[in-house]
Amino acid sequence: MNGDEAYIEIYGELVSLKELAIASIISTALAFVLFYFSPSIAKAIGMPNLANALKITLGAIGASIGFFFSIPLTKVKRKIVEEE
Amino acid sequence: MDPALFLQAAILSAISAVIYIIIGILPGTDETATMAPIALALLMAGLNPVLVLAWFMGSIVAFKIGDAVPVALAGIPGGVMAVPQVPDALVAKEHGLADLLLRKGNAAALISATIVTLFVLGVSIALMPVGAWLNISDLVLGVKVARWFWLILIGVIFLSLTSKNKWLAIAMIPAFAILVQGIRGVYGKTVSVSLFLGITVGPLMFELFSALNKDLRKSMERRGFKEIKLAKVGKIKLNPFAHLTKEELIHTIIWSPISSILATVMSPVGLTILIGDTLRETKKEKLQGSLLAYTVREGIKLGTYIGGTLIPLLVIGAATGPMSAGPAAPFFQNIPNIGMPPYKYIIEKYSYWDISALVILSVAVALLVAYPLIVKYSRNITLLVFRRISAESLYGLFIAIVLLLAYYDAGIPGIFGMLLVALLSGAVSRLGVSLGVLFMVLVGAPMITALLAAL
Repeated sequence: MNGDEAYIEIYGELVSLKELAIASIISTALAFVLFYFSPSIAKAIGMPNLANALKITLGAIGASIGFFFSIPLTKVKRKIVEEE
Repeated sequence: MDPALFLQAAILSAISAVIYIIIGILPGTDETATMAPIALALLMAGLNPVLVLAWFMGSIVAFKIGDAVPVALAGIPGGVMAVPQVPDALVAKEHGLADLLLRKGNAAALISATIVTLFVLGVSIALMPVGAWLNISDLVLGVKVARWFWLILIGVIFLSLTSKNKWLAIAMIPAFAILVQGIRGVYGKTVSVSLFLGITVGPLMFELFSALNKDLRKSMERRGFKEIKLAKVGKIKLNPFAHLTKEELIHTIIWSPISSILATVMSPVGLTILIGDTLRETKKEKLQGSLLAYTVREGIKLGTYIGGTLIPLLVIGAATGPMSAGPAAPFFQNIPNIGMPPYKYIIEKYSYWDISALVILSVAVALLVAYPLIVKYSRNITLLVFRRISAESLYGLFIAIVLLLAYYDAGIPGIFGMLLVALLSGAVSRLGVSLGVLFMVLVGAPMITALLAAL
């Protein structure tokens, strides 16, 4: 891990703008892909009448999958010192 | 109410408690920005509003218990409400009492959540006739104005006057109302969701866009990683009463219910600071004052969040304070697939006793999940969260959800309308205007602009 890179401090957290862009794009893209394909997904699972209701649910699931994909792609910028 | 609904409520509250302990522990997670979009997504996904209320009660309990952990162990706030706790937590930490502080805070939160939930449900029943009276409309300057509007107006003026920049806050009341109604006019429909989201993510968006400017970025740049010193935690007893002195217990029992009523119109952070700091000054010795203030504030945090949500929801039927117009605001927005605001659906469809039973159940389940988890594993959970979850992945998730909901609300214009509101909200928030002012104006905007035009 490279600790010399300059990060931006936002709300007490150090953030890399590049990594934030990557995480946001992944989560947003997956959210919108599932949002758009929700009618087909609803049809595939035999509930075509739920297509509209499932849009946000599937979109949020897409965003959450993006979150889990982003975890290994982004570095944690906290150095923990355990006090004894 | 269908027993299956209670089972679903219990499950949702438990899931919410686990998720929000993690979000609560994470630094930099603002309550409104993390609680409101998820509640809104659940409502728009078609989940029964009463179940979303169960989810929300679970998230309040877990978030407020969770956000105290990094404060006690590392002096870092887990959420906005935990910020006033930092100075007192640092005093205790300097004396090597971080784990004592954690125990006291946890115990006060558990006792407060239990007492305040029962108290608020009792008070709400007594206040019901007031609610009916508040929903009557009168003609003022030829404009039909519901009586609860005056409560919002008093609340928003009060909140403006307690903002750091009171004059700008006062000026923003008509100005922001005009912006909101103007955007709605362009869209040709009364949207709320995308504008509301704009306010919630405003400060974050403003910081991010500021960082894109080279000159501004320089002052925000930091090199290396952020060092966090995590204090050790000893064995903790589950019995909450074992951790509090008689004085701490009495103050928690007195101030938590009082703050729950005051939070109907007043700011939870403001109340936490005001009552906590006043109590601290009663002690001559610094450490004793800090321990008392910290402990009672943990109770007040729960009190303001539970009261600030339930009293406007059950009695008034309008978002009258920073809590109901902030984190709990999705319950007061018109949700297209329900055809009415969720609070209305809940109180029209279910009896008061059913709602009360469900609220008590969801708070109890969240406490049963969150309290032992924090008591037994606070250090391990904090280590895991701090070491594994990056700020970027979490911010990315919220940005995606906000974009999705704004798009669903009003298409591509919805995203840009959200951005406009976000940047304005972030800018005025930076200048010292409480975001609660903007949330409340969003609720009262149609009446504010109609009255302005009639003047």
